[in-house]
Amino acid sequence: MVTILSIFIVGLAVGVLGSMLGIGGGVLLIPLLIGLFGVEIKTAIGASIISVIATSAAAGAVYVGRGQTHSRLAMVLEVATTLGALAGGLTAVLLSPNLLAGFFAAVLVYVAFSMRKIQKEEPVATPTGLLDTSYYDPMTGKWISYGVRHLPLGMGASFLAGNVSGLLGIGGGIIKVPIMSLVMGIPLRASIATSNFMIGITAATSAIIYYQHGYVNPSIAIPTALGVLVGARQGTRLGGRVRSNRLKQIFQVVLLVFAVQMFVKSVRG
Amino acid sequence: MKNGSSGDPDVADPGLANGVRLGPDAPERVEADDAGLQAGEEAAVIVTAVPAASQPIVTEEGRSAVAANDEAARVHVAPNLLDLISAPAPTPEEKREIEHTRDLNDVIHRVLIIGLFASTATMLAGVVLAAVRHRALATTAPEFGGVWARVEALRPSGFLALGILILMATPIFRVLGSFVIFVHERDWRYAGITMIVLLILTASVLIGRA
Repeated sequence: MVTILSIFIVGLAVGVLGSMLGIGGGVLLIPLLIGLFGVEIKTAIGASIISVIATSAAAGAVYVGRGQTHSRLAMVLEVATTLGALAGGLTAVLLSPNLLAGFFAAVLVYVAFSMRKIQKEEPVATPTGLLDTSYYDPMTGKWISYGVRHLPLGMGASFLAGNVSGLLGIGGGIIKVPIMSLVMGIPLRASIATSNFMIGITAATSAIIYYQHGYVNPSIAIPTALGVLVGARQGTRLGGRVRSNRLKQIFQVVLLVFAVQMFVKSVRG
Repeated sequence: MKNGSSGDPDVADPGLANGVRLGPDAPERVEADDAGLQAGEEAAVIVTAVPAASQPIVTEEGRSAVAANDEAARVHVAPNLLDLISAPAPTPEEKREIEHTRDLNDVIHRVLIIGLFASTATMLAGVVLAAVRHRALATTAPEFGGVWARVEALRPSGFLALGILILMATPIFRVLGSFVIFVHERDWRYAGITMIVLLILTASVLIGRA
């Protein structure tokens, strides 16, 4: 019971942070579950992917209510992410734990590196004639109109994000958000909301595979998911108030910290 | 409405086509139906768009079940009234866009809330049940097919697994909700895209077996 409570608290903390940053929280959960509770990596991935669904649903309910989610764009990209997740999930159950840890480290290094650009190049949100939409920004009190750029590139990145999500049990938001915000010209706030919409569906695809292979352990996945649910509820509220720039900085630091952590983990094996 | 009760043969025909004998107030329904059709495309747009959030089935089912259900038939008149009230809307195209976005978000919002509530409640039921019976939480989840039998037997593991399954199903229902909305809007392109996503999800159930 003590372990279950501890896992719940870890889930709680991850839920707060994850939903504030628009990531599923898997990047934090998997190392924590392995490090603190000695969980086997595939079981940690199974618990993480269930929690990713929970985070997405909890945060998504709030974001959809605010109208910042680009539902149609999400559905287009979802074709690529679910396909990627299907391939990733089927591969992950076959791969060795060491290899999975190695992939985890590599992905985080790439993402942490690509996120550095965000502070320098703030893309201007403008309608492009492709999937144009708008949302109300509570910080500036203005309506932001924007369209989508480089959709094929976005689709490719989405497949990769789905693949990584299925393989490593993370949401894939850490890949989608920078791509959407940097390459596709979508404002960060809308990128985070749309990514949140998508990760639940992507995660469900691979969660189904993990479940059927017995890697979803209720005694670990449930306290994690419940903790994440409660935490995500609070985190999303906070996330709505944090300024976009500050959000980016937190996002960046978190990525760098866990890139280092995953490196250590992959070296240890 | 009363002028229809004169038994006009043109009015009676569509009623009989439904294969149901029309009651005394049947012409009223047929008239409403006719008005919707005669108003042309603009009216048709609003007929499909307006009731999507609250009563998406009424206009569709109204045609076949028109004689069988008085309630459905009366609601059939409402879109025409709404048509009059909302006349100063910018353009039908813009109005449709706004309505659809709101409807879609509404449905998704509800699906998420219900899914979260149901899965949390079920998981908690499993945790409480395990605690009451002084049992540790299950470390393995039963196969999809074996979950319900355990729930019926009031075994904690059944509730835990069911909670996980509801959580996993929530995003899938979200996609399903989007699909229904797109079909209702006759937005075939996005209905098709959403169907592809649903097929991939189905594939993960089928090829994801151990």
